[in-house]
Amino acid sequence: MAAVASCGSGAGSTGSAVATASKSNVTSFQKRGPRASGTNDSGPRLVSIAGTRPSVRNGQLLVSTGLPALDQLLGGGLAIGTVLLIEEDKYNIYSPLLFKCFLAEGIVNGHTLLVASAKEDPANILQELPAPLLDDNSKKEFDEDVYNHKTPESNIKMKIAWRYQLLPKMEIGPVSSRFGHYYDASKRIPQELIEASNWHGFFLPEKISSTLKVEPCSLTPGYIKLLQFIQNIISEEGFDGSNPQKKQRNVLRIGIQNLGSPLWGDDICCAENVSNSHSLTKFLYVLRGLLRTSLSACIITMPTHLIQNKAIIARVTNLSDIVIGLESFIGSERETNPLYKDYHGLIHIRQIPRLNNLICDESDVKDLAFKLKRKLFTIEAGVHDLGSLQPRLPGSSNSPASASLVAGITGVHHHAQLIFVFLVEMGFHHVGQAGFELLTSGDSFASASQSAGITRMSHHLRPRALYFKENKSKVGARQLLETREEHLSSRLLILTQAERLCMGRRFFTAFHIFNELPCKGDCICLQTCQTQ
Amino acid sequence: MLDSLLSLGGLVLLRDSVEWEGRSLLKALVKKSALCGEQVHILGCEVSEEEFREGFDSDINNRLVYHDFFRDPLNWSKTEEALPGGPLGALRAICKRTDPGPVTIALDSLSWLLLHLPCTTLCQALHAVSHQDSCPGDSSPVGKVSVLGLLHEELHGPGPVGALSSLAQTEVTLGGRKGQASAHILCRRPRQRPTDQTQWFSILPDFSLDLQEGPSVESQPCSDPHIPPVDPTTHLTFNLHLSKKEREARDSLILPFQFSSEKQQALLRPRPGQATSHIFYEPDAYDDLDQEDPDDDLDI
Repeated sequence: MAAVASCGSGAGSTGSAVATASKSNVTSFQKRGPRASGTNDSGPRLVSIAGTRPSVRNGQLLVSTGLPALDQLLGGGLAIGTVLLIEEDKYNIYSPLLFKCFLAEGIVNGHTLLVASAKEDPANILQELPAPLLDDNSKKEFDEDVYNHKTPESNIKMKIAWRYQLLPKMEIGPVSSRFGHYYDASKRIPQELIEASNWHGFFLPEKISSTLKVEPCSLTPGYIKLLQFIQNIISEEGFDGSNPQKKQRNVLRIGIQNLGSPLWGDDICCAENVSNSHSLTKFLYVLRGLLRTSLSACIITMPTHLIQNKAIIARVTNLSDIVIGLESFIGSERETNPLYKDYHGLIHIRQIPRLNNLICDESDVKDLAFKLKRKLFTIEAGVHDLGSLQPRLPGSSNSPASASLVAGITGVHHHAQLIFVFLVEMGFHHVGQAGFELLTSGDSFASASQSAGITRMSHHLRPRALYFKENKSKVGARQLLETREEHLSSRLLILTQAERLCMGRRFFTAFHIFNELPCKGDCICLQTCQTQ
Repeated sequence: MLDSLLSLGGLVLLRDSVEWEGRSLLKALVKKSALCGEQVHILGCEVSEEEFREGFDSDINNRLVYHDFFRDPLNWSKTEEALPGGPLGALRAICKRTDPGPVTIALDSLSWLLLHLPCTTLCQALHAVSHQDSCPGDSSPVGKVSVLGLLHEELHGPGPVGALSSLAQTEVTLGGRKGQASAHILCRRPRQRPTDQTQWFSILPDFSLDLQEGPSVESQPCSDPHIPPVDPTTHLTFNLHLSKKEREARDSLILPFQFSSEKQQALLRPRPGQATSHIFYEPDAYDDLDQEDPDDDLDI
């Protein structure tokens, strides 16, 4: 998969290609002044697809899952070419909502949809998609939800001295430029949005006639038909690059509902020792191959609580990229637990992929609970019930208490490799001046590299020097995101909190150098010069 | 709620066991829907037709359409009246009928069907039958279909039972205590929380349903003598309550950032020389509005 970068530049550009360019506007800062390089032939060719953005870790193209909270937990979104598997809750109430949010996000962004189900007609599924919350109303919806759930206060009222009450409120920008949207679960999507979208449906009872003779085959006939259908759509509409004359590339979002249930003809839910236990795993393997070679992302909901053979669940988890389990409290003893009285269930993030990366973007929070409010589906963290938590994330130890410690220790090991890569790629930079103290001489570099665990360093790197002129404004690591597209090299490493804690300060400052930072009054000018 | 089981449509699963049998409840529900004027089809696989019709009076017997698979399940006698395709073929034939009106199909035993047919085929057929009329906005002339299936849950493992209960709209589990039968009804409406309810009942000899209150619950012995609740606000070294005067004084206190209205207007009016500007801010996920930025220690 090619790592593509989005060219969502702000309004500061000369405006030549902005109007037709992507709608994904990553930056919220705007540059003043002329750009350093020409607009048309700067750097590598940048592809822009609506509704996608590159990951800040590895440049992987991401799409939103439809829930911004879930995007954040997954490290920015769902990478294109991967499979998101949702293990359904017992009564199948909340997993269809995630499924529908994913499809609704596709409609709002203009992606092509492929909906496959053995239970419901895809046209009916599309009619029931939640409506997107538009900008002006969304803030009101949030507040309304908050107020509705406030417990009745006693007569002791608190008056708050709010310093900023006179400042004008921030207006949220137009909805089409955002990456993830919020959806109102109580309203249906407007009919014109569905009609304007391009979708394909696969309803199993229509595609398979009931009197068909079942030939002995390793895949059940339902799965074979579905794979053929997906392959046809991908090749006909050019998602795998086979139609080069299409100028506007788009993403295909595939949604498969209730995979593995008996309605698909698969009997892994019915018996423990099935005759054809590899049907589902072969299907996932072939599906993954189709996805990796095309611009598509897939969501699958699976009733894993019905699967009798646990080995199949383990294999299915390995064959998927992201696995999320939903556990609702209905009917279980946790419903009466006062700890969980505000929530409807727990979310378990069972697996996060490592795509073109040495480590995965594991979030620090392991206890997540969800709540379906009247309109919104929210995910909250911090429900402490350590006895029941079993993080199964890769690279984590068994007890949750020491999970972060282990992550820190293993993190350093990875960072040594990453720093090495970074320094070799970017060249070796000295920074002298203005409160900036970095690797100024050879021996301090050696000591610094030793402290990072690098024992060998090739000496053919040519040092270059960068100066900082006067600088009054503080720039954080996050602002590097905003202007990243300006930089010639898109391989910038942004560190997370955990990584910062492990590194020495001098290394950390090195990451700030490589950007043309935006002009905010006092400007920061970088000059590079070659020194020997 | 036991009366209105059939009004919801879909698959109704009656799970019984050796101690609490369900065929009488099945016959009671069949009788009730026959009296309501619905078409009733019975797929009799486990007991003979005479035994099933026993206890019904003649007008109900005339309304029942009985498909007999008990006498000759494998169609060895090759008579013309044998239905092609076995029980599933009969089910599909009932689906394809053209006359409107609600239909109730009673499967005398889903257990028998599970033992003779592959589970996936049965699930697909049941789904096709029970969801035939669920097309929103479509004024189809075909009425609502209810499928009543009797399942002996002790005969099957958790797999088939789980698969069938995930398909079912309503699940009735029979139990009881001290000679009185109860039905635990779990109703799964699509996209809503499932509701459950326990109903005590008994079946009269003419197969009509008699809803009852539960057996008398013996009184729980008192666990502890009544302990007066302890008020934690007594014996404190500080004062938690406010007197009236103190409350008034607190209410009349002016907080630091509360401005009088003139000052507010003065602040909000745009100063000369300052162009009115709007802030369009798009907070993206990486934006941290936290004041405790860890980058603060850098002297950039």
